[in-house]
Amino acid sequence: MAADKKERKSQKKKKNKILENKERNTFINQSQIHRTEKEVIYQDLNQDYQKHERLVQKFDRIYDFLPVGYVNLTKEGKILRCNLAFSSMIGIDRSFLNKSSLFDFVLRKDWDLLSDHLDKLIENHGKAKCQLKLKNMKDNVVHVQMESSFDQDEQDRMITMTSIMEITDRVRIHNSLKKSEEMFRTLAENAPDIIARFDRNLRHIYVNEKTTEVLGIPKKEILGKTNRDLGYPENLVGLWSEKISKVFRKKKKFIMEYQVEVVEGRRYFETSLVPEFDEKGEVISVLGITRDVTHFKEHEQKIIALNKQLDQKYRDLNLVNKELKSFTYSVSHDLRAPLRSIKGFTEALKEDFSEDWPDEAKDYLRRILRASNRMTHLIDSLLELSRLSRKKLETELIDLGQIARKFSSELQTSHPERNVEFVIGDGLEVWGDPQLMNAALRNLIWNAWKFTKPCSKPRIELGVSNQKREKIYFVRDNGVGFDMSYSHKLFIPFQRLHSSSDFPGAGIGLSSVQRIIHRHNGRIWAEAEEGKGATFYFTVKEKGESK
Amino acid sequence: MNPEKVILLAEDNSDEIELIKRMFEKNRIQNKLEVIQEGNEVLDYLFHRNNFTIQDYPMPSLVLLDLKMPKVDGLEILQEIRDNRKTAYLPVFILISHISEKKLIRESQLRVEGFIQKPITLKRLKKAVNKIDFSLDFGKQTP
Repeated sequence: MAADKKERKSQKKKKNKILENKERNTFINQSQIHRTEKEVIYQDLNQDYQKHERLVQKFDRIYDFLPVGYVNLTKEGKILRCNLAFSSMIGIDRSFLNKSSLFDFVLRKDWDLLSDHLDKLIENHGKAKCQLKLKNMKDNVVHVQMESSFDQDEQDRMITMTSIMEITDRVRIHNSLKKSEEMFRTLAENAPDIIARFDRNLRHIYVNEKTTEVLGIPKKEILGKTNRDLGYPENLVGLWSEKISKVFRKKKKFIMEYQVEVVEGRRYFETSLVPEFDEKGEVISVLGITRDVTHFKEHEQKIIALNKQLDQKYRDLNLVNKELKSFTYSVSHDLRAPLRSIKGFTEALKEDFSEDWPDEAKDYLRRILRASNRMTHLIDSLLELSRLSRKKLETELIDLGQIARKFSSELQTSHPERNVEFVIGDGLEVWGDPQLMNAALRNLIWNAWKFTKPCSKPRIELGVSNQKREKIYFVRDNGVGFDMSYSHKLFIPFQRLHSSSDFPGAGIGLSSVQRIIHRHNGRIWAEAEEGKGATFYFTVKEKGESK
Repeated sequence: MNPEKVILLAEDNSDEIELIKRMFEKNRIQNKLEVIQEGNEVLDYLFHRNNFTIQDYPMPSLVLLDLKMPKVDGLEILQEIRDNRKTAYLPVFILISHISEKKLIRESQLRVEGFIQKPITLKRLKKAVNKIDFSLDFGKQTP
């Protein structure tokens, strides 16, 4: 039994052993499998890990090189983490940024904006958005738009995920647009012109102050309405619609002129229609700038009328001039011709037949000749007078003293029998027409020369006395003088104060002098006493004052 | 001297003509004096139109021209003379009543050989024609 038992035992043992081996093998197998599995899992894990690492790296790169700044903030605004874009936005290394506060880089006046932003985020547990201004390390202002959402970190603390986008350029463009818009408004609102903007449907989308003033309708009642809605006259509505549509179509500025009949009368307007473009180059609106040019037109018409009048006057004057010219020409030509005949044939008579005529007949012939000579002289004087009146003034500085000296020596040479003392003063320069002033002075001196003939000690003086306002020139003689009660007749043509047989002359010299002095805007007068002499005074307006 | 040297006198006033003719006679000037009294006929003469044949009316050596002529005035005559190639260099003296008439001609910018103031005396005529080296023909008179 023992043996049996033993046998059984050993058998059992054997059996156990087999079993044991079997189990062991199984186990080994299993563990082998398990291990392999584990290895596989490990490998997978490792792979996943590496993948994850790569992703993290990739994420970091993306995170850093995003064109948008990105920060994680605590609810107090402390910077936990930020990307490179943000640090370069501020212009400071990232290592200095971490753990500092975003408030340090926000303009003080925008702090409230940032705290509101953070508060809003906490309250709403959602998203928040705001615009504020940062200052970078170069002290430049950086406009940013900030968008945050809310997250929790490992320790369940609230952190923000905040993107910060720089919008400085956008703000700048916006501001300059705003500025130019403001400028336009200021200009338009204060312009004396009527300025209105029209859309494609010809409706007013903007009008300036002047428009409401002219139409007498408040701005809000004009906006959105067309000219027809506003009750413009039909022809005006038609014109405007046509031209505005044309500007929309042709994309070109157009200027139109038109008249409007109003209660007070006719008014003239000029309107520039200017296209306004969108970024695609399409006309989005048309600006109408209208000016009331009635005054201008009226002035223009006045000027045209005046010009016409002037033209007429000029033509009349020309006609008169022509007539005058032909008149004086006739005088010189036609009046002389019969005189020449009288003279010519009288002389022929004298030469050919008069030898044995009685003295009385010869005397008659002499008288005829003398009369025709005097007539010739009269005609010449008349012509000279009219020439002096017509001649164009050409002023320059003239020395009257020089003219007087020259003329006096001429006189003394041609009349050696006379001994006249000439006294010629200084400072006798005047502005005047040399030809005319020469004629005037010669006339005055010739007069003095003539009327001093009976004197024993003739003396002729030319001088100037400086009065307060003007210079008074004078020609003085100690000749026969004249009765002052006739002085008003002195300057009348052909009017004589002495008989022509005593003092020959056409009686036109002083009229010529007066005419010349008057043409120089001067005055002339005389003082005299019979038997004691005469003084002729005259003034001449300074340069630039004469006609 | 060539007695055929013709002087054309364009003058409408018969007294004036008479006095000039007398002056020619008195001074025994031999040059033929052709007298035309109407402006248009002066032109007919010079351009040999309307019966003014070149045989009967030879081209003058010089013209004494009055400014005031009937129908065509002196200035128009002068203009035509200067505009025509045939007569452009014909010596023309303007007869004037007064020196102011010189201005009229100067304004026209037409060329003239000179001016002679009326009445025309031998002295004035001689002085004028001397300027163009024209000698009046006094014939073979003994001095």
